[in-house]
Amino acid sequence: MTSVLEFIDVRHQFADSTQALDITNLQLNPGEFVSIVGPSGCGKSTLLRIASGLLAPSSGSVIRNGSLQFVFQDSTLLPWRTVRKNIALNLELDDVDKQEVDRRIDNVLQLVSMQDSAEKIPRQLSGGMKMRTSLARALVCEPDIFLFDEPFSALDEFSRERLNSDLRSILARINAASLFVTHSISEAVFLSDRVLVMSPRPGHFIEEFIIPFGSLRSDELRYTPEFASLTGRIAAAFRGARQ
Amino acid sequence: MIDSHTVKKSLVAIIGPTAVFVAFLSAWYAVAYSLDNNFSPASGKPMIVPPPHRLFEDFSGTVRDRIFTALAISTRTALTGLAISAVLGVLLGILMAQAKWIERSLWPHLIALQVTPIIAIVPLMIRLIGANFTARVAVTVIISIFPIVSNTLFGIQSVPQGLRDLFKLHNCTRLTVLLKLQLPYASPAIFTGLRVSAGLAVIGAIVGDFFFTRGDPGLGQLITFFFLNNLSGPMFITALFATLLGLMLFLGFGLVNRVVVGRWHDSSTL
Repeated sequence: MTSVLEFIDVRHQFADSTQALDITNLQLNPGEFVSIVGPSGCGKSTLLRIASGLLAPSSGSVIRNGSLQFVFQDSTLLPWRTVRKNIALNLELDDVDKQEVDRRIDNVLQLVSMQDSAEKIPRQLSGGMKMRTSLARALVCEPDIFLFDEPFSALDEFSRERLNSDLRSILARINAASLFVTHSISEAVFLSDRVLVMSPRPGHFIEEFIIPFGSLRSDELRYTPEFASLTGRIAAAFRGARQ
Repeated sequence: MIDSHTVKKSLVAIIGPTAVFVAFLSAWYAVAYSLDNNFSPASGKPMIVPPPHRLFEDFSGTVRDRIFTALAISTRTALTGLAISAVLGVLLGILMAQAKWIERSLWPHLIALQVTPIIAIVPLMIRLIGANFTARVAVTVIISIFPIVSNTLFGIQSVPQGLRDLFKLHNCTRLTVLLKLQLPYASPAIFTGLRVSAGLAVIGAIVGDFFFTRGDPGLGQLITFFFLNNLSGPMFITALFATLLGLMLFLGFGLVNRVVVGRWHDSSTL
């Protein structure tokens, strides 16, 4: 199977000579959801910026086989545009036909349950709704790869769990791959097919966990002994990485 | 239904400015009568500072015509200067936002222009332009351009990194980023600059009048004329019209801000 995203011997050094990243190999397969957890400042966001092409690595190569969308930590919505027009932005910038834009937006609004808020502007939305809009803006482009940089970190626990469930069910319907950076181990386990634990700087992968829960996951999964056991093992690896 | 919080807010909005205005009028009366404590209306001599209720006694006939003509001339000078400042200021702000070296190259000169007393460059301007309408517009531009440049630059530089990355991921041209992201994002800041500059443009138009006396007389020249002829009342009315002109321009830009920026930013609700 050809991976949609591959890192080969990628290293990155900041201008002040800090070694930020040292990734020997990372492969993301079509339809796969991979989460990366690790201590603060270990280079997770740098890894995503390199994956997206926003940042060129100091050495090594990144191979991308497909289109890509980035969902940022902040919702990054244009405050003067309505939800509908914010979702249209990526398509507009890619010169997609107007009729096609309208059709896709109607579909995606339904997918993220935002039909009733289509004409609202961001300041009229809650944090969770802003993030749904941001997610819709990425989904509407129908990319092959999603890059998520702690998108739900600013949300309360309830909104976060709801969005986790919704994201999981949306992605189960499309064949896109996702690379998801988070600080929350339970979020990583709930969403992912694979979880990678990163070491402190220079960030490299110290352990990989395969998540065996299938593609459709219910909210109750979080309260099963298997989920708790796996979360505990990853937390132990995470603690090891921090020491 | 109107809640008590809204009523309280409205009352505060009305009572505050009214109280300050009443205090101002009281101070005015105090100054007017303390300077002329032996004043007698029968003497026919003008007061040094006429009290508010006597201001409009001389506002008729030739005086009124001269004030309205001067007001029209000063309005034309202020609006022409402000229009040039707006276009030039926004363009300079955009240019300076394109690269740090451009910003660093232009900033010292703009600050120098801002802090140079106009009177110091009046002889040079008379040599170069003459003492006419163009010179008065030039003074207006010099006085009013700085807030527009600095606010445009500040507004563009305030665009969050995430939004800039979003456009970068689409390999957008500088023009697309400017039109779809930077200018809309900076518009509240630009309008704040325009509102400050509107007041400064009126000051510029009147100050220009004091230095450049050729051409049609604006409010500044008329103030000088009334002062030299000991006409305190008309002089104060002329100053009052100058204030009203500044206020109208300030409020005008507030309205344009509300239309252009709309409901997404707090500045448009002021």
